[in-house]
Amino acid sequence: MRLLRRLSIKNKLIAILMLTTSSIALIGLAAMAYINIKSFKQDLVNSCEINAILAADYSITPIAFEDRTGAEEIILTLQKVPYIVNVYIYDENGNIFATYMTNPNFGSTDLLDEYDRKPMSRFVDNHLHVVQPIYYQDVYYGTVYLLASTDLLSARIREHLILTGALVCCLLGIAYLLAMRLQAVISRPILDLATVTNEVSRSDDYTVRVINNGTDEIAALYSSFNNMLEQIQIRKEERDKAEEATKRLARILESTTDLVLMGNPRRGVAFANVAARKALGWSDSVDLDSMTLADIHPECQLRRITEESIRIAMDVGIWEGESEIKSADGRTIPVSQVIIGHKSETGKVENISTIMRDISERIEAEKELKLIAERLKTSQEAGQIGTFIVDVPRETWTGTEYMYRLFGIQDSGELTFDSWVATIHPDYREEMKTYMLHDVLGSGIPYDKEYKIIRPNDGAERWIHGLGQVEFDENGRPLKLVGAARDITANKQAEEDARNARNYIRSIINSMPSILIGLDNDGLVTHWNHQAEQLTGVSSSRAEGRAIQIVFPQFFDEMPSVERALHDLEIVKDEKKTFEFNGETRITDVTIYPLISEGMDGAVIRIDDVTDRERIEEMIIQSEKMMSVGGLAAGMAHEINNPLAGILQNVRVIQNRFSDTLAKNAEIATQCGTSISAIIEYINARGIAVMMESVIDSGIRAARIVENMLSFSRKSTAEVSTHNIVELLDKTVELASNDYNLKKQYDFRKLNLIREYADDDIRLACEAGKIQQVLLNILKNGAQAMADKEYADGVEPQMVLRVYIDGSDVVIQIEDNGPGMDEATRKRVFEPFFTTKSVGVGTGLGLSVSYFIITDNHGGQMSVDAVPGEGTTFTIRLPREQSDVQKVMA
Amino acid sequence: MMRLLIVDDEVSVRRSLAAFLEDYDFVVETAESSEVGLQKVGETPFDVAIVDLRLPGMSGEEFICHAAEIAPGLRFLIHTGSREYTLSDSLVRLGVKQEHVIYKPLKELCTLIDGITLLVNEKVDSNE
Repeated sequence: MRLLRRLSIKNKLIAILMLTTSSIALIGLAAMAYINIKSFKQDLVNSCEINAILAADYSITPIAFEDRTGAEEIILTLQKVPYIVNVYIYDENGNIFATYMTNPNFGSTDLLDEYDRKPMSRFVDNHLHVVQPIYYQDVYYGTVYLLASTDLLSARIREHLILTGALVCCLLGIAYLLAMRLQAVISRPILDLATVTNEVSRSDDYTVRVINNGTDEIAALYSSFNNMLEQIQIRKEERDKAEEATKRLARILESTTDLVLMGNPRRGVAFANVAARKALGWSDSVDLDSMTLADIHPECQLRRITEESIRIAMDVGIWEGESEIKSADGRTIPVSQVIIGHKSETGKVENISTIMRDISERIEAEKELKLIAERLKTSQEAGQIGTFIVDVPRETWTGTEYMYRLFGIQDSGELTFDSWVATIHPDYREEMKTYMLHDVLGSGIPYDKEYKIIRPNDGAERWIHGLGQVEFDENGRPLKLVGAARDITANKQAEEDARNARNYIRSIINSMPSILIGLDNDGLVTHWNHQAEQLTGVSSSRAEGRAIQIVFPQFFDEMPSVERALHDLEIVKDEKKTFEFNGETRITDVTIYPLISEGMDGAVIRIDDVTDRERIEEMIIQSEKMMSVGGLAAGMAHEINNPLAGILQNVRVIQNRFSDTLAKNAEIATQCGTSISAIIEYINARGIAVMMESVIDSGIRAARIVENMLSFSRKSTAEVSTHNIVELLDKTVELASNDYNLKKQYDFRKLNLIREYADDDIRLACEAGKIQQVLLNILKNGAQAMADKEYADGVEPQMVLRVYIDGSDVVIQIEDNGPGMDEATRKRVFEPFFTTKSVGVGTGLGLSVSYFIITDNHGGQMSVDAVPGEGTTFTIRLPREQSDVQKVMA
Repeated sequence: MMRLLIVDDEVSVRRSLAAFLEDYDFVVETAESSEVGLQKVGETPFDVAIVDLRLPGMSGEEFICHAAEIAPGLRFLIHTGSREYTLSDSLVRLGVKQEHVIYKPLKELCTLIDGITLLVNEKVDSNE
């Protein structure tokens, strides 16, 4: 066993297995051999006994009959049994009766000595002795004595033993091989465990684990082992941690800039870290035990520290506050201090420790911070900007003081998202909420929005411009919105003012009676005012951005002027250009202003419709001309009247003095030696009387002209009353048709008269006679002119009479389709003595007198339009109220 | 015999009128200006003065005013080359009426005699 103990597990197992196996095999095989040998012997015995019995049975007869030979023959048959060596048959007397002997030297019949006529068998030496009595019907006849050799048996046993030995060897071999293999089942896990154990002990690594994949006792061992390892590991870790913590704590204590001191206020300082020693100016060799509170704190602090701070620390366990310490150079350093009371298990305070931090920098920083905050406040106020941070997940926000002021929020600190929403003007609230939640926080677009708020504190409406940027976490969720807000109410006002100003200017430009077109350098339209729309029929939206020649083709001829203006940067003015607007030819002045101010390229085109102005100018010129002619005529007429009076009166006196009715004539004629009758006869015979009449006629005609001319300057005699102008016109037409018909120069009744009266009763304050004179004059002139025109087939002379009210004026229009007039004629028709009629037909004063009646006497206007070959239109404008006339005259 | 004074700067007018009126048995004196006329009014009495308004120097109106002072009984006919002459207030106060204005040139000189007759009759009426 001792030997076994020294073997390895593997060998041990093999040895055990081998021992066990071989023992069992040997014992088993030995038993088997014993049994087999015994059975071999028994077999031999049995076989011999059977043969003996057979031999005995068969020998009865021979014995009975004494047939020796027969007996011998019978026993001879036993020679076939190899191991039967000698057979003896004895008779009832014990005499040999017959023998069969193969080896006479072999053994002897020794058993006969003890034979009592009962079967018996026994091994003696190398012989088996079998004795079988011969009985027949219980009559003893003799005995068969059989001697058998055990040599065969021995050989068989020997053979058997050899085989068994070989079997044992073979079994042991197999057992060894199996043991070799099977021992691993047990030894491997143990070896593994051993390996792991070695590994653990070698590396001191308790994290190693045995891989356990069984359920047997070894597995249980494994798990126990693992558990043990784990326990060890945990312990080790705890220990390591504790060690590390201690180390760290020590390191922290020594490396921290905080001042750490431990000790007992009565027994002095037990520990002071590097920072504390340095701050307090204690060298490494200083005796800490001798240091007291007075060595740490300045005198002024001592009382408070002992009576207040330390007491609280002892009572409550901790005290926190600010105090001061004495520095190495004698200065006082402000510190934040924590004092901790350490209690023993009995609850008695044993030690105190204190941690102090130099806060002089912090105090400086606080000052600095305060200054920065102050500056921020100032700058925000100066810049009128408030800044804010929204905590998105918490739906809260904070802002600077100015931010709160901006929003009229009294409360400072953290505010809810809803409190911001509540300040927004109701018109913008929903929009802003959607914008903020969806666009800014939802989509992350930069916050940039202008909106209106109502300040809660004073109810003022303000415009705010908010700007900001959202910060997201790694999952893309909005975290913060950081931004700024500014009050832009003034800007908005300015913008609105600017917009109003722009609208105002636009309205001005649009209300201009001129066409105003803005062009860029490429000749594309940039502006197109209302008048341009009206006159060209092209809307500004269609015109803008397109070439002017396309939207306003008539302007094509003016393009060189535009180019000149743009090139020379000078204003180009083209006067009296004609354009056709809405089917009407208009006279215009075109002015092209190049834009020469900074940042403005292009030109502005102004087209002024001067058609009416031209007409008015013409009328003014006409009027002035007529006035001067009128004045001249009046003055001249006055001067002519005197000589005319001289002529006429003298002729009258002459006529008188040639008359026979005057007694004085006859008397003087007689004194002159003749008679008045002779003189009368003479002047008649010589035609003198006729001549004198014609002198008077001429004089009277001249006087009539003068009279007409004087009417130019004659003031109204105020025979003004209200008349129906329509009636007046109709009456005049009738007069014209009656009067001038007779002269056969034309036939007024052949004229196609078209009356276009706005009303049948249009009242007007005027001098009826004068107005009729004017109308008659126009009708007459028209009719005469039409008589001179040859009309094409299907066209007949036609006169349109119109009366309508235009504002405070009554307008009378007489339009004929006569020969019309050329421009030169048209411009002169109102001039006195201007006539187109042949000499003697008219005085040329009719229209000029009419003109004075209308303009001078009635304060109206009279104008004529004519197209050669097409017709003439006279237009008379008369103020409806005479008071207007008076005013004009005044 | 009625005495007439004609004040007119136009010699043919003055002389023809004088000649015509003398033919109808008026005693006629003439003056080429207001000044001369006034002098004559101061020298001899006249029944009627026929006065042109536009005169060199003193105007016809002034002449009438002065003459009416000198000879209160004197009546005036205005003979003017102007058209539609409106009487001044001072003349109206002296009794001159619109019908006493005769416009030049007279187509028939009898008009003048009718005017004189009218004026003289008025005078007679007023005297009565």
